[in-house]
Amino acid sequence: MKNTKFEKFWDNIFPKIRPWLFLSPFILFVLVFSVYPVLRSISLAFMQDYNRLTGNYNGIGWGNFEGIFKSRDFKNAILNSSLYAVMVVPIGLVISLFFASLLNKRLKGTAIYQTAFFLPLVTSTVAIGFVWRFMFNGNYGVLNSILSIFGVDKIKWLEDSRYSLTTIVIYGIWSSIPFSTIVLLSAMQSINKKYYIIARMDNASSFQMFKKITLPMMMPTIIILMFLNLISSFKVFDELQVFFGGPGPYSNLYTIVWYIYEQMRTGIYGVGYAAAASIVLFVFVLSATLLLVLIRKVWLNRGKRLVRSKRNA
Amino acid sequence: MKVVLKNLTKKFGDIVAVNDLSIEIKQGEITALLGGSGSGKSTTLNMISGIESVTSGKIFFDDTDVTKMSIEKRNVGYVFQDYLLYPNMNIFDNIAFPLKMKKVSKDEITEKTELIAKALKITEQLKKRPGELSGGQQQRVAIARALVKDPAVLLLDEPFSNLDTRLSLELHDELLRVQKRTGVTAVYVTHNQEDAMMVSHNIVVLKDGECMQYSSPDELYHNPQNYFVANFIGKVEINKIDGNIVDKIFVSNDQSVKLDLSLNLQVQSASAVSLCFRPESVKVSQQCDFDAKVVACSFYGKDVMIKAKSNEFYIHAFHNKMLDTSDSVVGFCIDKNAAKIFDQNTGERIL
Repeated sequence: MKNTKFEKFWDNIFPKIRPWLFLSPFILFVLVFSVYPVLRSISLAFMQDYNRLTGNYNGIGWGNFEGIFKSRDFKNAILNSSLYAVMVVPIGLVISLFFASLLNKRLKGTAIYQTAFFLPLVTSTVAIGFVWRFMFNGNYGVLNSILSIFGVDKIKWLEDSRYSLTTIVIYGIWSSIPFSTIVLLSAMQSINKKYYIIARMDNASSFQMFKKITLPMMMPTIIILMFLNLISSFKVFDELQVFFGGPGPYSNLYTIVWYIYEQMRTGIYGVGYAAAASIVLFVFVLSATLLLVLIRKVWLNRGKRLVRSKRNA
Repeated sequence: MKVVLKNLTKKFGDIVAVNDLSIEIKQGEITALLGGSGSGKSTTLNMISGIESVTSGKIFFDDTDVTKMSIEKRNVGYVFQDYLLYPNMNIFDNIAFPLKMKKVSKDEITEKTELIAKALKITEQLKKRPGELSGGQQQRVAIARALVKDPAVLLLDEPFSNLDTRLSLELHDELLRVQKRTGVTAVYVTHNQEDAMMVSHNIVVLKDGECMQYSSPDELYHNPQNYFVANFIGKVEINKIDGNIVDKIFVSNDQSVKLDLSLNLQVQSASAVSLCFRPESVKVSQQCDFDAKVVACSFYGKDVMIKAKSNEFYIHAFHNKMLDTSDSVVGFCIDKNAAKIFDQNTGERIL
């Protein structure tokens, strides 16, 4: 019989803690690998002249932020990351949209193409990067061979600093295509085919159908992809290592993540700079995300807003 | 425009969906394609619209052979069962879409769209989006979008099936009124004989891809050509008594019903036939043609519907008051002029 005080107490309390027991492994994982690092890097960002060996620091303040914004490499990193994002995200999406609409047609061998498109997704950046190094090679690379058909002189993609941003942008666009294409394709396939029948009965051309049916119905997906690709384009790192063995052939191609990495591993006092740069990156991505969320909201509600404004008028 | 189907056949592999169908749908009428699932009614509609290709036979709009004509050129207005309004456009743009594709001038688009919206009583909704409308309103928008381009024929796939009874009745009136006003030839598919009876000039009853009867609702109800139609049509199932004809007298299998049909009957005798009559063609009265035990009474608006059991069959009849359902046996009189006789094997009408 349950008569002792402890047993009654336990019967009351156990149902309440049981869910937490089930959750505890995951919570522990998140605490150790996500929450603690985030909090720690925020605190590190404000500790001036933090010495990684002794753990001493010289007061709390904005010193690290002032330091990185004075740094030429960091300004370079922000510029490069932004340029990269501005080029890779829209161009990559337009090309993906094109491929998705090709794959959406019931042509022979569509399944083969769909698999082929998936392949880059499951292969590591390093392995693919080496293949691209061959293609980018200034002397015997396939890219220059193709360009020479159009009378373009040999470009030293990997060695010439003027082209190094273009090099990683080309690679970035290429590597963003598979995922975007697959996602866009599935969005495209979920559109009710009867819409196109109705539109055909109304004499709409293929272009009009794309503009009036396909594109608007895929807009929510496109906005989400924009936001995912934007985040990943701020994280360029691996390809720099593979193509140039560093941030560009003449250290001209810093990206934010590379800057963080470099500060982290060089110098005793670099940790604070790295943490500060991480915070800047976080703010960057956060504001870009908020902007996209806003765009998405406006897009989804634009009809209602229209009605409301007409009513008020 | 009239729509003529000549020996129309559609096969999906080995399955014959529509079998040698020949009908002429008259200009300016509403015609219902009525049948159960698998009767080929939707396939027929889709062949008229051009969504489905034709295996053999021909389709004419007036004198033009449209059998091989592409969807774009047929100029049909089509209303899908699930409406399929473009969710990203407001109602005005939805209705105006066909006109915009035709590159009609802006003033004309506005004029025509507003006119058709007024006819379908959706003027208030023009600025809204499809998601903000009720099912009935969306249906009206879909009809408006199909009608705005002055189609050769208006085709509707199960227009009433997604609406509740009251909305569906409302749309009945709407469809009849708009059709009368525009004079468009309308064809629609339905599995619900009540809808078909209420909203159509003519009905094509289909079974297994074949036309069982093509006539007006009135004719279909009072003069069915075969047992399938007689049984399919009518809110309450038609009464059926199995038996034989001996010397122009119908005798039921259990000998309890004997009906002298010598005035109307052509054949002298026949075996394995069914005597059929509608509930309103049988009266409760003193000992008459046969007796049956009352098993149920249900309120049915003006009348009470009585269900009665004889030895071998059940009878439905209308009566003016509730009857005692505990073991009361009453007599029934059949209106001989309304009685029909069908061959049990072929389903063909004998009388």
